[in-house]
Amino acid sequence: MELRDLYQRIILENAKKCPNEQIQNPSVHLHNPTCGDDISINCQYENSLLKEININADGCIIFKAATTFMKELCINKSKAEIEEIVLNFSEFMTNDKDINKELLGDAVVLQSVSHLPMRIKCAMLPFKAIYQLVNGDDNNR
Amino acid sequence: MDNQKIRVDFPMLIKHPDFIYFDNAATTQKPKSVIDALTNYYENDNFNVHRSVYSAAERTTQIFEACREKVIQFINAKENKSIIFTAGTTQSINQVANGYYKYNLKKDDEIVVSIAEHHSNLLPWQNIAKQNGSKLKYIDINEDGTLNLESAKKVINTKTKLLAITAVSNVLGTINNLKALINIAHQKNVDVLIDAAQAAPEIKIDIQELKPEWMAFSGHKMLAPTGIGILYGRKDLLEKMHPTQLGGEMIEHVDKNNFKTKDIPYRLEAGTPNIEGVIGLSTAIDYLQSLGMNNIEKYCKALGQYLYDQLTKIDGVTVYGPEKRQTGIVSFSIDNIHPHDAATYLDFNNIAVRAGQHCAEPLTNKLGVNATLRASMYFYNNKDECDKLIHKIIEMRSFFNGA
Repeated sequence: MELRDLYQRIILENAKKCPNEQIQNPSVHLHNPTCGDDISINCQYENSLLKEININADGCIIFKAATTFMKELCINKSKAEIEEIVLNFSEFMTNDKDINKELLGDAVVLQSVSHLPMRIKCAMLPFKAIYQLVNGDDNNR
Repeated sequence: MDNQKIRVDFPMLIKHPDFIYFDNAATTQKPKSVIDALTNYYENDNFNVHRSVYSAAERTTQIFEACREKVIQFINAKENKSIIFTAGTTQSINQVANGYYKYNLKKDDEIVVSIAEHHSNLLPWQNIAKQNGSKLKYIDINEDGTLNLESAKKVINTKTKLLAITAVSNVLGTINNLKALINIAHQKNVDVLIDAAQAAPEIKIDIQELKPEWMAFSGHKMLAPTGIGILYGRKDLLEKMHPTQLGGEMIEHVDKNNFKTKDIPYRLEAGTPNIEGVIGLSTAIDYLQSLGMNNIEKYCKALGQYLYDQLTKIDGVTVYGPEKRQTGIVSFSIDNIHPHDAATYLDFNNIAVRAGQHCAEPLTNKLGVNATLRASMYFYNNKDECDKLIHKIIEMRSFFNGA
């Protein structure tokens, strides 16, 4: 693997688009203690779909790009759909077998990350956050 | 010190000539002499200590106890009963917290640490403070990252019972003025614990000169194997310390309901000790002393200064800590490149640096960053390696920002 596979132009561009909104009382706040990646997230439902997702995130390129991809993938989706996306992404990062890549959209460009165990949690953090959000897990608030 | 000659003593450096290892504050590489000592132990002396009558085991016991003597001499303490073998700095400090201060701190007593402590010298005190209703107070740092002695004078008062402080910051690479700090503490009858994890590898620490009550350090950060550490304690305090582990080796007599423990140090070393670790540590001390601690300190400081000077010449690089460097530890950040991405870039270029909070989250918060990069160099590193790092940092900026 080359560095450029890990840091493709599309990843750098999406990292720059990482949402950085002001959030007062986040439903979920996750923090990676080893590197400082940090995400706060809120959402609004309409007819059981996630109509709006508000995110404040800061961290490394992999994390920020993954956050952008996650938001794009999860907007206007139901809880069940989001769970499927997250589980597919998790498989994609750890295993890469029997997954539905179509569900992952542009996030498939993060494939190289799966070869770097130390960086997988950077990519996983936003997906973990949305999973906890739709499951009402506020232990980490 | 002849760097090229020294490097030959380290098999890892010879076997991986293109690899630049700048994470020595995490753990150091081991010289051949230490590796050979472990092999020799397992090939010839692998017997349990302090319990067997046969002469082979007695020989191992003697080798083992001779290391206690060596540690004594390394830190210039007085007598060998003040040295406890532990698993490392973390265990040493936890043993002091849970075996001594748990029984000797009252409600409203105060423990003082600095804002620059490694979590190992922070969490045990947070925990004891909560359990005993004591207060934890912090000494601040100056703008340049050095410890603020005025703050120390203010924070340490008649309610303070313990000052637990690092000798060298594992992030800023600063050496704290232990003499002044201990003086401030002792004037108010405050005990002092020195976390020497980062200092023992690089600077000479003299117990008889400084007279701290406690000191903790780890073998693996000073060329010895992992899993061996030292707790120095003033003899009268160790005698009052409660063992935090009970079991074999530490007892004089056991009946169905009660036991009577041996004297220190054995009372505080339950179970079969890390014999190979002790032998490795002994050999590591021999190696360090053959180079001379003063030479090591001087070399690491100069190398730290060299890297600092080169880094600060690059636009957009921030180096933390004072201009005048004291050790080989240099933490920095690069504008618009997250430390994790920078560390991955360097990793792909065979350079190992640490990225993150370095187990000192209150300090990184204080510095106003959520992570930094850290190059921590030891006496086997050299300027040539620094230059390669600098070159890669410059290259990295166009990789990430110009892409």
